[in-house]
Amino acid sequence: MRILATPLLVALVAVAGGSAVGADEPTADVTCSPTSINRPVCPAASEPETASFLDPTSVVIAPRRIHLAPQVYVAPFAALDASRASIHIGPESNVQDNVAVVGGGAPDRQRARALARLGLDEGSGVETGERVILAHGSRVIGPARLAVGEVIQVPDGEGGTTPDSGVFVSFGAEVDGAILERDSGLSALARIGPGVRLPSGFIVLPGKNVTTQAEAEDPALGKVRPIVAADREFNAGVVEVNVGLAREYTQLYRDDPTNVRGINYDPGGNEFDESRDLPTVESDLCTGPQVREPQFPNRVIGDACFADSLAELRDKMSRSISIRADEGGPFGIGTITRMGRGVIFHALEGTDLRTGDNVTYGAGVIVHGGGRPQVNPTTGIATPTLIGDNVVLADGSIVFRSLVRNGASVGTRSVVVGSELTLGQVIPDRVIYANDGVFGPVEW
Amino acid sequence: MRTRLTAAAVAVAALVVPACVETAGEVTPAASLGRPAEFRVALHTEEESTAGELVTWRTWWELTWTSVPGATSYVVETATSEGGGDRPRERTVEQPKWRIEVAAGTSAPAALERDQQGQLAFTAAQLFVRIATADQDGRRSAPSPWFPVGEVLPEGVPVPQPLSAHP
Repeated sequence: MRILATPLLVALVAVAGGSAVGADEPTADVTCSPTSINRPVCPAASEPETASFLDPTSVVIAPRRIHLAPQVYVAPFAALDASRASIHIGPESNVQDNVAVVGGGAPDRQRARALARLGLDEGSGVETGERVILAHGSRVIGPARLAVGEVIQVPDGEGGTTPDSGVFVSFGAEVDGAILERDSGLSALARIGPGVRLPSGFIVLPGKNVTTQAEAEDPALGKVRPIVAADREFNAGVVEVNVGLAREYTQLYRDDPTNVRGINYDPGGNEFDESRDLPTVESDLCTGPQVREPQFPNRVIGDACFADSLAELRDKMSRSISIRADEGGPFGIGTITRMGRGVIFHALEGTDLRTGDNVTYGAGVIVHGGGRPQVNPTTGIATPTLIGDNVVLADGSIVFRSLVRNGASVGTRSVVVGSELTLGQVIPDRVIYANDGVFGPVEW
Repeated sequence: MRTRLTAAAVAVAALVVPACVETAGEVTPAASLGRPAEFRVALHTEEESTAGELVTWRTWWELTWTSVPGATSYVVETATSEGGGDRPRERTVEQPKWRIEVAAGTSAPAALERDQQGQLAFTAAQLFVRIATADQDGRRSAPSPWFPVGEVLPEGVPVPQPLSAHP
């Protein structure tokens, strides 16, 4: 299905709440508080080019203590909880699906001592600078500082320098009472604990738990590695994509406010997917009827094609599920045995994510598409990410760019990347499984 | 410090080009300008011994292709697993090659390859690159398919990703 974007329907709504101002002053100092009138577009009357967008399913607690700079994208079921302390999100940042940002944790004497080493006060909240990526399922517990401070020049890998790419917190990672300097980050399922400052130029390795300053600064201790040019290129690309999503979802909402709820259109409007597409049901080959169901409790966006009927999806899906084909898809999802709370599907246009029948998805599972290293001899291109029949993905597991054959299972909070699992293979709990081998444990 | 080449470019074979050809942003492809072809990839790793029997290492991924007649430069575009956005990020290079640092670390010698391959698996799942030819008038050819950055298969030929313009 293809619909054309209609002209802007910009209501002249008085901007209320927080320090929100009009979009004619789009500077980094301008912030918006996502009070009810400023959701999902913040500030309500801003132009799409400078607006921040909060998916209507995102959870906002104590909105007047939350401040969003321009061009922030807050994805489905993300939670911003400022009940204990404030939250400031910097410009061009994104808070992806099922991310939790909590201004402050429960008071604790030992934790307070650790925080004091960084000069962080329990009540000082979460603050991010510009271009911070909080990827699917990650968590930030305040007090915390991410990419706060001036943009720095970093090597561009080609003999020159370039502005740093902010901070990247990858899938399922956690920042708890820590400082991440600009040009640093956490890999998938990594963690950095209270009282630790991650210096510029370092990234925590997948699954590692950094609890001391020495671990954060010394790669020889096996928890961090230097950031490389490919990391920065990736970060910059992700920032641009999400800035575009803030703009395009704002446009989609302005065209029709029900467009950004439930089962609905992707925003289209980019090179990879110009059209707006709807999910389909009753065929994972996308031959079933299209569905647009704004009242559906989960977010299903764009070219996602389900073998199950809509009634079956209602029965099998838990809540806070985000199946997001922003850039089109299509990807086919076979019959679901059970889909737990907070499951996330995301795939880049055309990367052909497919899942088999009778698959069990635990809570917080992340499935990410991508062509695998194996070549399809007929087409000469990469074979797609494929999850077979009767597969079990346990709670918090992550699969991307892999083949998971029939009957295989991935353990709780394990990552499978760039791998081919055999029939019935069991990946144990809490391991990083990369390139068909165990890369290391998830330490927390 | 020593440098090693961990994957050689061996076979020479033109890549299969998907039927659906994308345009490079808003630039109209120049029909007469050849599209880059015969891509090869290789990893280059520099190692340096440090105290305690550990090795500090850095790895670069290099994509090369044959020179295209009439080309004055090549446009290097990147996209991510999160999407490509309005337009892919781009830069130009004058020579038919592009090199980027893709992994780095400090490892015990026995663990170096495992550590390197683990990092490369994540990078190749997240970052993609494609190449177009440009001439002196700023016209561009159609771009190549997308290739995963960091991945090197034994034949040294990159595998095009199944990314295509949406119908």
